[in-house]
This record gives sequence, C-alpha cells and structure tokens, in this order.
Amino acid sequence: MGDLFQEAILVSILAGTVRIMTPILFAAIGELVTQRAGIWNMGVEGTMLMGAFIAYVVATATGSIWIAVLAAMLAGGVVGLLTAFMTATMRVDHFITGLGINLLISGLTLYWFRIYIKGRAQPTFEGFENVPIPVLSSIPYLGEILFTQRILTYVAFLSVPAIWFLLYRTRWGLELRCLGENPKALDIKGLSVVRRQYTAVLIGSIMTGLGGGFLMLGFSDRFLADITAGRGWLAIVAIIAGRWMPRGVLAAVAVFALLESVATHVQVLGVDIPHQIFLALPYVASIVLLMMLRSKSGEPRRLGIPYFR
Amino acid sequence: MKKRTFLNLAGTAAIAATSLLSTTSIALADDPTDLNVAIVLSAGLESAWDGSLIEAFERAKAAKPHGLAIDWQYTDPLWGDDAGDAMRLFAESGEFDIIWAHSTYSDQVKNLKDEFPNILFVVVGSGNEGLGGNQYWVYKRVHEAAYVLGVMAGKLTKTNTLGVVGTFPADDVNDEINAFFSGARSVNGDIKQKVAFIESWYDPGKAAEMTSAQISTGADIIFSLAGNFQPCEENNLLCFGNFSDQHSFSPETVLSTAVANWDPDVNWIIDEWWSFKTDGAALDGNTDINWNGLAVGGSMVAPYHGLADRVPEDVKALVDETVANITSGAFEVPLDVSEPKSD
Repeated sequence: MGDLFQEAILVSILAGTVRIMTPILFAAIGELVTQRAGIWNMGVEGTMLMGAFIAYVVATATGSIWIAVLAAMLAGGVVGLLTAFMTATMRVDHFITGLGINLLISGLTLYWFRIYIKGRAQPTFEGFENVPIPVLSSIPYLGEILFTQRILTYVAFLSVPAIWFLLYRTRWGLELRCLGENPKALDIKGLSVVRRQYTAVLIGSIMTGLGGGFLMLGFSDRFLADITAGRGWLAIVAIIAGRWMPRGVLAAVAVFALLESVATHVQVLGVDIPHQIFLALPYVASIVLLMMLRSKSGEPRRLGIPYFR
Repeated sequence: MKKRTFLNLAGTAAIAATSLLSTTSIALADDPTDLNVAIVLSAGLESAWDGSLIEAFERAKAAKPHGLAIDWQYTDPLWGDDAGDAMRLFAESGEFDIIWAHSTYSDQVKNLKDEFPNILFVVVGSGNEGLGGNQYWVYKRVHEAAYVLGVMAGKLTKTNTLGVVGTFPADDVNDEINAFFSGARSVNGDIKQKVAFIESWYDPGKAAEMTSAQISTGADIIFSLAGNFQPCEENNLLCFGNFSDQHSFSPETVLSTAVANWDPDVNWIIDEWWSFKTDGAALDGNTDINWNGLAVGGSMVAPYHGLADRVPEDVKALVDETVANITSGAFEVPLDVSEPKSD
C-alpha cells in the first residue's frame, strides 16, 4: 500500500481523476440545468452514447476532431429535442421517456455502426492530446494534475462557474429555477413554460453529447457498443448527491472519479486486497451518498411532474 | 482455334463434367449438402473474441469442407436466460444443425441437449461444464503466442517493467498473462510485472486509465487484452494486441498481436458433425478441455507490419527460433492459470 503514496503515483492518480471527471462533469452539470427546470431526464446514458457514436463517425469520416466535437453536441441536441418533445410537449412520463430513449439509442448506434463499418477494418482517428497551459503547467505537482490535460477538460471545469452564473445571477436562471419549483407562477405571468423547458433540456443534452464526444475522442481509439458503460447514470447520481447545486455536483463527480482512479492504480501497484472491491467503490459510494443526503435533499419540488395548465 | 471447334470442345467438356457430377451425386445422394449454424455471440461482432470466430467461418465457407455449403446466423450479445431462449428458438426452428454458443453457456445447453439430440451444441472457453454427448467444448489458449510476445518485450524493454491490461481474471485470460511474463523472464531476469483487470469484456475508457496507470509506474511496453492503444500513442510506446490483429487500430504502436485462429476448431466440429451424419457415428463430445495450439494453427503471432525496423535483428531471430521450438514440440510453454498480480 505504501507505493500508493509515492509522489509520481499520487500525481498520476489525481491527473487520472481530472481526466475521468471530464465526460461525467459535462453531462452532470448540463443535466443539472435540465433538472432545475423540472425535467427528470433519464436518457442521459443514451444521449451520451449518441454523442460518442456521432463523434466517432464524424472523426473517422472527416479526420477533424473539432468537427466531430460539434457533431457530438449537435447529436446530443437532436436527442434533447426528442426528449423535450416527449416530456414538455406530449407530457409523457419523464422516466419512461428517458428509459425508452436509452434503449432506442443503444440499439440504433450499434445498428448504424455495423452499417458504417460494413465488415471492413474499423477506421481509426487521431484523438485529443494533452495541451499544457503555459506557465501554469510548470507549477510543481499541480501543473501536471490540473494544467496538463485535454482542452475539453478545461472547458468542462470552466462550465461549472458558467452554469452557476447563468442559474443564479441572471433573470433567465431565476425563471428556469422557478420552472422546477412552481411553473404555474411563470405561466400566470404569461411566460412560456414549454419554451423554457425546451431550452433547459437542450442545454443539458448538448453538454451530455459533448461529454460523449470527449469520451470517444479523448479516451478511446475505437467505438464499441454501449461504450458509455454507465457514465450517464453516474452523472444523474452526481446531481442527486450534489443536492442540485453546481458546487455539490462538482464535488460528487470528483469523489466518483477519485475512487475510480484509485481503483485503477491499486491494481497496478499490487495491493493485497481483491481489486473488485476497489472497482465497486464508486458505485458503493454513490449509494451511500444517496442514503445520507436523502433527508437534506434540495430536489426541485416539481421535478419529474409533467406540467398541465 | 476456330470458333466452332472451340464451342464443340467446350460443349463436350460441359457434357463430360455434367455426367461426372451426376455420377458423384448419385453416389453421395444421402449425404448432406448444406450445413446451417446458429451462433450465439457473447460480446458482439466488434469484439476480437467474436469477430475472429466469424472470420474463421467465412474461411470455412470458402473452403467448403466435405463439399458443404455453410451458412450461419448470429445473435447480438446474449447471456443467461436470454441466450437459452435464443438457443431454444434456433433449435425448435429445425433449421440448424449446429448451435455454436461462443462462451460460457453449458448451463443453457444442459437444458436443451437431450431434447434435441440431433443438434450438435458447442460451448467455448472457461467456465463451462463438460457435458459430453452432443455438447462439444472448444477451448482457446493463445498463451503460446503470448509467450512469444513476452520474449520480444523482455528484450525490448528499457525500464524492465512490463504491463498487461486484462479483461476478467478468467482461466483463459490468466494463461496468456502468465505466459507473457514467463516469456519475458526467459530472456530478462529483471522483469517487473504490472497487471490490471478492467472487469469487463470491453470498456475502452477504463482500459485507457489502466494503461496510463501502468505507464506512470514505469511500464514501457503494454500487452493490452482489453484494447484501446490511445495511451500508447500518447506516450509513444510499443504495445501488443490480443486475439485479432490489432495493428490497424494503431499502426505506429502495435508491434504484434497474439492472434486466435478458430479454423482448426471450426473444422474439428464440422468433421464431427459430418461423421455423425454420414457414418452414423454417435455425437461424443469432449468432457475435458481440448485446445489447438500454435503448432496446428490454433494461434499465431501477428507480423510486425510497418514496425519491423523497431525490432533488432537478433531479437527477430530469437522470436523466430522460439516459434519454431514451440511448433516442433522441442519447447512446451508452461501453462499457468493462477491469477497474476502486480509486482
């Protein structure tokens, strides 16, 4: 176990944590906006998967990872439109909508993927590489952990204060939060509930698509069925564990990612504890967190309840 | 040659060929001409485990063993009861001669094999029970090829630390990892081993993190059983792939692959089925592990492709010699299926 505390290993664990956080953070902080507007989007996993798949196709077809990033956001947005249409316009149960979207996209991406590769060798692409930030990256330890990452990782971290500002310091944010607590108040004032719900779902889904795109372009060298492997669900848990506050969500994502990064390194260092225990830690932690925080929940009162006039 | 003479000649040849064919078909009138196989996949066509099997069937189709027209249908990944239901549907349709369940499915086959005695069931790899009768048990060990990769790695490493990223610590995964390090130690006594399992058949994100963690502890060559060579590219390291030649995923880093070749297994099963159909031989499946090694083409070491110049000539010669010794039987790669741990 002593090896775990060597400097180089600690730096590697923490740099890994920041990397692992990125796709989950995009999804969690984006979906926070959606949930504060009262929409329980259970389709985060599927939306992220669609982002990853479209990023793969566009990256291999065009050779440009930046076009692929835009395409992943667009793909997330299209799934978001479907989610918003079902939940805001058709007022279908939010949970059923989300679960349906997950199943649909899981099947659809595999089907499209098979059509795309058509039995040929799977095409590959050049993914994101670390871009050290000048000056900051030369700070001992911190530079390597925080400032020698992929560009989108910096964007993910900057999106937290940006979303906080939008939610808490703008009139738009106030109205959006009101949607989750008392949509009738907005309706009575003559402000469109449905339009704001669409906006909130779109923001969440575009950011989730971006998270999927990062998972593909920053982490992987190939697409595989269900490549998101539960990261979308972790994003939802992070929102609940973070009590629907940007700071809390950031902390929850950090805890999950740290546990995963520790689990990764523990095996490599040969610690004499079954590695399966460490691999289960993020999920055990999420259940424990949910149980502990249930009583002090900051859940929007109208979350998941379709709005009828 | 005049056109008419040519046509006459061609006509005569055609008649001769037709009569020859009809004689043959009379002699073999009762022999089957078609073989239909239902394949239950475990991880999907894109995984090396499943994809390499379908490639072997494609080669068998082209080779037409016993003159058979071979056709198959495969499922998307299925496990447990879902896989059992799919097998039952395949069996009840009456259209399939062989049901090839490409992983741990003997629990499901147990419920079906006596009900459908004329169907040959195949289960594959570790975790199965040898039921015998009409269940055959194909095993795949590519540890010999992994040993050869280890010899290469042991010679090429500069830090004397090698990493392996595995899927699950299963019998037929552990054998490869242990053989890899055994090969490395046979040429380099100072080797330190780093092992990690992602506990999934595939999760590229996790595989990347495990690879990065191994690199951070000093590993300079990674044998990845879980795929994803992105960290190898980023750190400009040489890596090895597993099961199907992974070169195309990262031409600059994947030096070679321990390749699984299912052709001898597919041919064995087709021969068993053929004997059952034509000679009336009983289906008598194996109850013990039965695997085809490097010597009979059950596994192989992938070529260096464009990276041959990264391997010194003496290492290439040593690799060739090791392969030759394994193939001739002069050297037997030790089989160790205990769960490997990091040093």
